[in-house]
Amino acid sequence: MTQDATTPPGDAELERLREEIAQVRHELLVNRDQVIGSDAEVGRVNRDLTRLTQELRSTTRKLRRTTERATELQQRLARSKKRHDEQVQRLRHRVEQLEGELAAARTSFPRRVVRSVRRRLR
Amino acid sequence: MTPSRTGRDDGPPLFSIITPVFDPPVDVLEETIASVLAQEHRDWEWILVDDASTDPTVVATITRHMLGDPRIRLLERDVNGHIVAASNDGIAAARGEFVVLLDHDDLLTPDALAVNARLIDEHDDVDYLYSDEDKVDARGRTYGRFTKPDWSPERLRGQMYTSHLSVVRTSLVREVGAFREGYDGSQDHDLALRIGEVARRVVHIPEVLYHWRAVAGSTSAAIDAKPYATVAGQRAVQDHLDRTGVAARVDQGAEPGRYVIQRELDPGIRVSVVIPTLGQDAIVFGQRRVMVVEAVRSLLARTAHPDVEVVVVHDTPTPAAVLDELREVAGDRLVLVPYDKPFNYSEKMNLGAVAASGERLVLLNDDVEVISERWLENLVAPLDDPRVGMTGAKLYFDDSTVQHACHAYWGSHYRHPFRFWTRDEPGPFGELVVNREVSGVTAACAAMTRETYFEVGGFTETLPSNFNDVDLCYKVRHVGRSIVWVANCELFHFESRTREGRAEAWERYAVVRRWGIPEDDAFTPSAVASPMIDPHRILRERIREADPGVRAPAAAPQP
Repeated sequence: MTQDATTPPGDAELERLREEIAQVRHELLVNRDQVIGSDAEVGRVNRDLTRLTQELRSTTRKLRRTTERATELQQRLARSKKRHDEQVQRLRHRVEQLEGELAAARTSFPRRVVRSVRRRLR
Repeated sequence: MTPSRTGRDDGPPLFSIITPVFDPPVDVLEETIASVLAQEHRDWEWILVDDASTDPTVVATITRHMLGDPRIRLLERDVNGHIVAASNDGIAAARGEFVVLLDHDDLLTPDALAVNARLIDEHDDVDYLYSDEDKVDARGRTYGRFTKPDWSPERLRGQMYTSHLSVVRTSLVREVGAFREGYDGSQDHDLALRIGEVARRVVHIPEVLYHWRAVAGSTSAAIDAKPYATVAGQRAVQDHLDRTGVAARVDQGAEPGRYVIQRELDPGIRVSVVIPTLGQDAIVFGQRRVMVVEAVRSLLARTAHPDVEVVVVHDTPTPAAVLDELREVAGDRLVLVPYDKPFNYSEKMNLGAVAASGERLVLLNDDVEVISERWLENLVAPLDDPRVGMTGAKLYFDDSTVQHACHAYWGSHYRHPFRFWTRDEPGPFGELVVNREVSGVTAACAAMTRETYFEVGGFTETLPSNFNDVDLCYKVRHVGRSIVWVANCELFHFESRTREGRAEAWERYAVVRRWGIPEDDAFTPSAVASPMIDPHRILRERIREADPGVRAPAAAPQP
């Protein structure tokens, strides 16, 4: 570095000391930047961690709620299925019963012939 | 229903809504009343101060509602005293912890008080809250949303931006003397400035809680509807500067309601302007020039400050003739610092700062030309306020369109809002003509105190070319200082318009690693900052790049 207009010419020692001071100040700047940068990064990581922890908590809660809901729905489905099967069973039984009754109530062929003959004779 | 209490112990606060009334159209007043009665938050009292209305139906309307809701109170003035006297009567009668300022023809959103109550609950020390606002026309349609910045005391000097809805701690309003006579039309600006001086915490609510009715003759419809108001506003800002010990003069701004702060810089303060250069030349306004020489010439010509040091950090290939010319222009104010390493802008600036002897540092590119008089005073003097860590300037391309009017960090990117607006445009809400707090400024022209520069470690040398100024701005805010963009410090910046695209992904990642991904900007919100890019201009640039033989667009004449 040259202190162009203010440095007395030939004063090499002064110039050397100035350069040394400048170097130290420069190193100070670089170190300070690293300190601030690390501090910022730690802050940013902590914020990220806090956010992720909150997201994790929220997702866990959501997952638990969803799992409970799925279980409940599965139970409801099983109950419905059971009710449905029972109902089908009941209805089939009833159909069979009615078919039997129908068969029992149906008029026999000889009786229908007799009725027909009687009608014509009138 | 009656208000449950006069103050707050643990429960929600009691709000005193203050409304001076003078001859509003009754149907409009009814709408205002309906908007208050619809509040979700129930703890309020409403003091309507009739300022001797000539229309008897006004008082009759208020009385009818008063009989239906005991929270409504009517004060009747015998003589018309105008808005200041009427508002002060209301404030004197207020029993709530916070006063809410509502005009007789405007509308609150149903959640207005509830949102304020929630934020008051979150911050025990809050003294002043303001929200975003929009306008409502005669047909009830809302438009013109003003998305406001977070608390910006410097911007408040340039314009009354907090406006509606303003909610202030009652004890503080009384402590500062409420509204002052003689500031009619800008009485709210005057009050906000005085409140801002003493408030412990000011909170911005980024939600529209207030619809400002645009009727002929009102300030919401046209900012120049009340010319007397801008004169009162100028006086209010000048009073504020005098009270707070800021050596400055207030001028009227580019449009009514905007104010320019012309600052004084202590002549005893040495300012070091640090400029990195390779001594290159280029054609500007049709003439070849050595960039750094003209930058130095213009910076010295346009300041009256007596103690300016110019520190030029030059790469060793810089021609000797350029250095000679610099010595001629700057004389004994010049300090030359040679640099013989591979290009690293950050390191060059740090070496310049180390060599500088001034208490204030101005960081300046060599491809600039100062346009405005007293640029240095206006740029550097805001740093007298210890809360301010950095200032930046308004830069133009060679055709006088805006190149830089602050940085805004949002939507995962670092941006230059208002690019390509013209020099005479004020911006969506005065952003281009008033000083204001911002998230960052370009280091092409910026100022810092030496103390702050060293406290934050200057530029990070891990970023040799791009985003080092973004990182620097983050650092300044990290140590608790604000950044102010100065509208009346103007320079040409003869930068390539397309240079920004050359940033590498790792450079951006280096900033993100330290500071995270930017989401929305606190001072220049994305709703305001969205770049208004003229596609024809971009196309013109691309054509010029693809075929340099095509006639270049005409440059603006030198001012």
